[in-house]
Amino acid sequence: MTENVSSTAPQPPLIEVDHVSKTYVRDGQLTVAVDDANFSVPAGSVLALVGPSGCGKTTLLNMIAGLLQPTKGSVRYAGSEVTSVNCGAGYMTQHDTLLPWRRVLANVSLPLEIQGLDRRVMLDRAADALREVGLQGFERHFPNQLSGGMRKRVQLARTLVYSPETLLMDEPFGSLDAILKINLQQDLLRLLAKRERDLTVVLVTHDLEEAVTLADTVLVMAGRPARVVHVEQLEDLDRRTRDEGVVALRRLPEFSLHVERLWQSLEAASGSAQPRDGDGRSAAAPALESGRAR
Amino acid sequence: MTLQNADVHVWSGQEAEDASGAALLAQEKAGRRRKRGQIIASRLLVLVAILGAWEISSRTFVDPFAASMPSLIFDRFLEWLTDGFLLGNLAVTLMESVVGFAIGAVIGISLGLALSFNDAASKVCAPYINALYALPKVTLGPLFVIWFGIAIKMKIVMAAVFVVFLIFYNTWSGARDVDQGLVDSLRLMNANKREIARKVVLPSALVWVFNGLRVSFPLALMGATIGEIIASKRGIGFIVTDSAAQFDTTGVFTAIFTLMFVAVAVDRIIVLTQAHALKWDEASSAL
Repeated sequence: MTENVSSTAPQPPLIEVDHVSKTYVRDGQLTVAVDDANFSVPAGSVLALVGPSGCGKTTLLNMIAGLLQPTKGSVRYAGSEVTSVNCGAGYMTQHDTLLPWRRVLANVSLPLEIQGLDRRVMLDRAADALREVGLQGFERHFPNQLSGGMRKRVQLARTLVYSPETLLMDEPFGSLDAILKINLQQDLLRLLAKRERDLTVVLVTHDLEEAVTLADTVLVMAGRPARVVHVEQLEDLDRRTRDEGVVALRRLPEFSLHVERLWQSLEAASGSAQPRDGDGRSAAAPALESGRAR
Repeated sequence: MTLQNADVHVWSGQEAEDASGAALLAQEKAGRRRKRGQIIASRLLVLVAILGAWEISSRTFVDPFAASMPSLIFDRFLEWLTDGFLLGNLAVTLMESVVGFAIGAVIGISLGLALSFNDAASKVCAPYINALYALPKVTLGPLFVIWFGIAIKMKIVMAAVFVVFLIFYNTWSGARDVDQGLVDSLRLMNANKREIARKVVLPSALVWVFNGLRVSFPLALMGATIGEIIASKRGIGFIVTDSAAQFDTTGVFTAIFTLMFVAVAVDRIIVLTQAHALKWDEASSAL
């Protein structure tokens, strides 16, 4: 799945966020959640959106998922504009959205059930997906009988069971403890590497280390209204090193360097919220362009 | 499993460091059983104390003509039980309550679901529903006598009217209270409205529906008995009024206690059904 980041063949972007703004009306007041976001995600790459809480990352993800429509600009997926729920994307939301009254297996098979698959095929594929996330033996459990980490795994299995070409993740491991988080990041990387078809991932997180661990490109969003203030390319973090494990990856000097740069861009953005607006945008735009050209 | 072990480890740390894990678990289980036994014993003690105090005061300084006493009530209970008087009347009251409850539940649940899927209709109907909900249902009794006569039909209608609003309210709130995140997650799977209703809204409303049913069965009993008190020749409500008319307080108390037993028994049945149907819901299965 790393190939297309370093490959020279021009890949058409799978997701294009074209000068997108989103304004909410709440109690008669306008709130600009996202201001002029402009980027694209090539097929098979992993993009992370980082930024402080409430900076519109989730809004952006919801627009890519088709749950929300932009006020200005447009989101295009595989060349066509997203105007309703984007069915090519599997969305793993921040909140636990497992149905509490369904057992684990029935939860995972739910997307296939809606597609109207044959019952036998459906349950087989759900069981496979559960095995893929390391949860065989828990098919008959109810979600509330599982730990937080296991529930996340079930959710991941449910998102992957119908093989979407894109995976949208909103703070996927946000509420978990540090060790579990690393384990799940490790599993996710292994999963991504092992898939036959390349999976495109858009990941929202406020954990900079998580972003650097998982992504090929990191967009830093900051300010009110939120803008993309920095773009960090991570192609120098060799994927082969990643196979050795997340912990090894985190020890690399390049890793710390990237995290440090993300930090600085966030600090700069919050330190001088207003004056840097113009700067931030013009600095981000060329980097994006080069990111897209590769 | 691991959690349990950890628990044991913490509380028994000092007292039994060398005890094996199995022994600790057994010890913990025995402790829990002991505690449960103590609670049940205390409950019985409270019951004995109340009945004892009643019996003694009625035998000493209170007029048993007004207050009756447990021994008399027990005798009367056995007497009415053996001659079939109690069961015959209880069957009538139960039949009225259960049928009224069923009618009220069906209407309440379907109306609640129907309105919850239609936001505009909900908003239009809300004030009228509130007004009907706030109305003391007893006042409808005389009207029902005119409409339905004094036979069994009137009591069934009373029972239904007593429960319908509560069940409706619970269903309606339950269906509207659905976690939007769950609905969105199904939308993302490309589910249509019907699938969302079937797979998310209904099951999630079920918790509320059950709670509504549980709270409202005593109301059905109340409706039926009030109907009987207004006008009847059979039923527990009839025993109450008939005994009271003859200044037979023992008879009144016997009828009241019988009704109480039945209400508790039906409540247990509903709770057990709920625990079974909502196995996934910790709050429901712990009841």
